[in-house]
Amino acid sequence: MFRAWWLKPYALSVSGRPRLPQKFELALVAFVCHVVCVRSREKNFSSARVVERQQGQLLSGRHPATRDAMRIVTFIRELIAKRDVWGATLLGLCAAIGCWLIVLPFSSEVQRVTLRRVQFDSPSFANWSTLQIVPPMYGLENRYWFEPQKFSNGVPVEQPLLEAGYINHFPMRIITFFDNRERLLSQFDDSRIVVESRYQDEVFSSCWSIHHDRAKGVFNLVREAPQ
Amino acid sequence: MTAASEVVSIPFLGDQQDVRLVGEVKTDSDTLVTAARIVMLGLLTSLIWKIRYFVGGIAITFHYPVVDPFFPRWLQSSVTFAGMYFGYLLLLVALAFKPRRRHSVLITVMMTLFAFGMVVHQHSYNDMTFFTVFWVSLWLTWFLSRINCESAKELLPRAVFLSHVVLSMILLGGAVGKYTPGYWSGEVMYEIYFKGRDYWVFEMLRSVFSGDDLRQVAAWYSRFIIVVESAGGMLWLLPPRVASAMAILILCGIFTFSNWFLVSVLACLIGLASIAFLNEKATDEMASSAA
Repeated sequence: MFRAWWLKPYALSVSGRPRLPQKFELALVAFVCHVVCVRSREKNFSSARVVERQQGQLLSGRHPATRDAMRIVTFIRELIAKRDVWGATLLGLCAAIGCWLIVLPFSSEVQRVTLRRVQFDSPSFANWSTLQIVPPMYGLENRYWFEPQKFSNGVPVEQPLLEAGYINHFPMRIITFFDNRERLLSQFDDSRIVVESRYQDEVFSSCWSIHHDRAKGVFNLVREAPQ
Repeated sequence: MTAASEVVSIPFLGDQQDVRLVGEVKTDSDTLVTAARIVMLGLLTSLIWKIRYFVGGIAITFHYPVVDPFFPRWLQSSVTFAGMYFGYLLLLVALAFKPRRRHSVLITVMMTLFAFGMVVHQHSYNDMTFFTVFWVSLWLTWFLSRINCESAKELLPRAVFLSHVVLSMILLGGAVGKYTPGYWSGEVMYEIYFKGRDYWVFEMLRSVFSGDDLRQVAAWYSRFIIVVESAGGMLWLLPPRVASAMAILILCGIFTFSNWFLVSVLACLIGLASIAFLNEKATDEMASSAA
């Protein structure tokens, strides 16, 4: 089902209620795209233009691929002619990732996989590594809440929240990445971090505890079981 | 004109070189090697832009090792990260001196593996520098695998198209991840950049706007990025030089109006986009030499 959620903040920000019917705005955008495409096709495929282009290529010696309206057709034709397996593999990989990305806004399953990926909750490390080639930059709404912990007779004493906020790419980088790691881990031996990733209506949260093992000189990061 | 028998005896061209291209080898060599070097320059810029930050980061990870059972032990090691980072740099510099060497493909395969290692390493999985370096390394591997068996006239148009496919995919990833209310309303951008980021754009906007007005500016800033990145996802449909000019404009705009650290993420992509401007030059050279 189509949901025009992205028009809501825009419409509401103007007058407090939808300025125009959302369907009208979408129809307007579709019409403009249609006109641009039709004009482009007419310009590029008119018989005079085609003849002019062919003459231009013959005179200048330019490769047809530099002038084709659909470069991908020429590209694939040449891949086959040259038996360029590695080129075909690279194109196929990009196409597969492109399809995955296009499906993302519409499929809750793809959204769940993506949200679990940024919180290291993929079924296996190999699975996560495979997903790492999908571009994740400045995507999803990632938030974190960091709180130090103190224990009294083995029982955690409630501590005030130290910091919280939005963070880009991967929320757990607040602990694993260089400068934040030093800033937070140099202050506290034990702490707790809650992270939440959101994409449209899908939300995924996880909670981690960090414990300083002084004997081994390491900080253990342990995912807490969901409650 | 050089005799065919002499050309075939050139060691690094091997048996794959088409004898019919005898008269074109010199021009092709220069153009294709220039294209490879431009991309390598972009990769080098990406990796050394934040070198002090990375070296400092390696020292931090030695002092504060974080053990996470999700990652294999060797991908939590600072030594592994340092080895892959400096190993990549060394291989890149060695390759840049002579891109047509016999084992150039083997070198780029190793570079790509190192880049992928950094993409999945606990210390660097979140830094998009290594992500873009990985994809450009993949492209470079393909390019160098073809550089000795095709002329510039044949290879460059394909190389340019494939570079636009890679750029489109990366920009589309950035756009699609933002198709969510938090970005469209500007809330995420407001919190990450507008609220307290120490950068001239945001300092200037904070001095001019405040409160709800600043949130409105953040909303339009965020929407503009979504629209521009979405348009960037269609680069592969555009004519080569238009696509490259648009890609370079978008990429330069991203770091100019976000923060200078992003140069490390985008420099290799700018290098990749730049080879389209060699394309016409190469084919024009071919035309003039044929005439």
